[in-house]
Amino acid sequence: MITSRFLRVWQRNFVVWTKYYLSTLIGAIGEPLIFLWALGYGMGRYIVHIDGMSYLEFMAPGLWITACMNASSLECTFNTFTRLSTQKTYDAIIATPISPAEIAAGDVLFGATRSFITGNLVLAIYFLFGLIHHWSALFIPFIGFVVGLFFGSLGLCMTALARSYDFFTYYFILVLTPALMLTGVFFPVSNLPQPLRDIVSWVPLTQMVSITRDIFLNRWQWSSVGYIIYTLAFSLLLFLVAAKLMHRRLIK
Amino acid sequence: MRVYKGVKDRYQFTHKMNYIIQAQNLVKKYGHFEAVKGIDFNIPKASCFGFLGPNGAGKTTTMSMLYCFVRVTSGSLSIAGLTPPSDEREIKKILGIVPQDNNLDPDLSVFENLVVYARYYGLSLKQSKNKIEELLDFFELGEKRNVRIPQLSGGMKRRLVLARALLHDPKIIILDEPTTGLDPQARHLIWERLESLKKTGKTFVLTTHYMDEAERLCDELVLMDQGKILEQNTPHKLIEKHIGKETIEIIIDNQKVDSILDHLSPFKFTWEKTSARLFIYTHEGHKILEKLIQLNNFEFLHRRSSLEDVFLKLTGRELRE
Repeated sequence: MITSRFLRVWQRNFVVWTKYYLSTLIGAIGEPLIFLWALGYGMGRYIVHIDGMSYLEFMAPGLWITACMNASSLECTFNTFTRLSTQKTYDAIIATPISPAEIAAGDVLFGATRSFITGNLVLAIYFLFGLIHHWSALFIPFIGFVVGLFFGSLGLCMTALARSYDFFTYYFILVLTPALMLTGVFFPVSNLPQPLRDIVSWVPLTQMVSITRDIFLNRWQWSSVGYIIYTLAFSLLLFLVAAKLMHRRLIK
Repeated sequence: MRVYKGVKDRYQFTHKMNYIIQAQNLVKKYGHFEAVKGIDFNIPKASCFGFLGPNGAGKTTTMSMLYCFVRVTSGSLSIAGLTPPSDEREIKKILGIVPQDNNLDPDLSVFENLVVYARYYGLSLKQSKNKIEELLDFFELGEKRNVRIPQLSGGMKRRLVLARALLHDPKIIILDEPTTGLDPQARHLIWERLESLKKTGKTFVLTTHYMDEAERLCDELVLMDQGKILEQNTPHKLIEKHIGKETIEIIIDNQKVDSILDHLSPFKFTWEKTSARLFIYTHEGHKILEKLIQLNNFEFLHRRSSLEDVFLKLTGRELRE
């Protein structure tokens, strides 16, 4: 059973994060900006338009999601593993009335919080670059939070199984990077061959990228809400697996 | 029950007491490996109870079952009337745990570590502030309150872990090797603090590899080896029973052992031989000493017997790694 005690774990992570937040934010904002500049202004000159948009406009929402994805993925893999294994912070926490599942919940929520913060900052920069034209963009940070919950839960599953930091290198290179390539961040999903397209359309990231793009362009529909609920449900499922794995890892 | 030698003594001693922790036929298996093989113990309230034994004896597994990090395979365990795992949260509310590793938050200061930890028990800063100040004073950490963990000495870290275990005013404090790796000053400071806490009615459960620590702190202890309890008694009675009051260590070649034992045959003693020493355990130290002085042929050392002698006698002298 998960009680509100998981908020204490979130709070602990937040307090620690305030000690080094600047370095994480520079990384989190820097990456999408470099991509935006290199691909949008550089390579984008050779691309006339995609689906009626300039390449910069097409890519900006996807890069925004990438920043959110990375924030919670890094938090719930490398950082969680440090707390789990190197620092043994979680052994200290389960000595108190807080359960492993509550630790998992606090971690995923904090991962999502970092996605939310990163998302807002990147959005503010987009605004300065003149990439935001509609008030509907105010809803976008919420999507960042949902993306954070999804990748936080997935990352936590990986962490609960990991024996060393090397494991995450595989996860980032073999899972997350291909996910970026295939889910419509850099080119439309419709360019993929048919069977792959069908698979990819079930991946929540694909839907989140497309919804975010729609919101940027102020052409979102009520069906978008269904996709958000789908992503949340998927995240919950992953979270339950992560909580179970975390319990198995901490209680022998 | 059959694993005990001093069953009768123990019952006379313990039956009058009020137990806070009771374990019957406690077993822990990891796959096919049986780390704890059906042990029984009863820990009286407001006492200090020690678990001693060589590496791999099952002490840490037993302790981990008490604080619910390890699930009991079979047998019964009751902690202040509560049973793990169903009452896990309630048990953890009354336990203060000092683990083997100092798992403090390295990014936070001394003060912040305590504030964050108190929150895990549902205590807000407002509720825990006075307690934190009191504990910082008690463990002489006041001056270090704003220092981050990596800048603390080993002794300070240990004291902070102890302070952290007391934030929620637990009834039972579990100490897993509380002074390992500390300098003598730091050890003595911790012992004094533990002794004064004992007077407040808290129960301590302790493991240690330092026999002087066990002898000083424990009212009663069990000696474990290979997942079983070999003995349970007070440190004093254990020494009396297995060793005798005095020990004489004689530095001697192997071939001379028989002749010296012949010389000493009129006296009551037990003995043990290592590669370069003969250990004589006895209640009649002065008579044996007289004889040895008369023989005037050996280098020897006469001393009070210690728990370490009991430990080595019962668990053997071979390395355990």
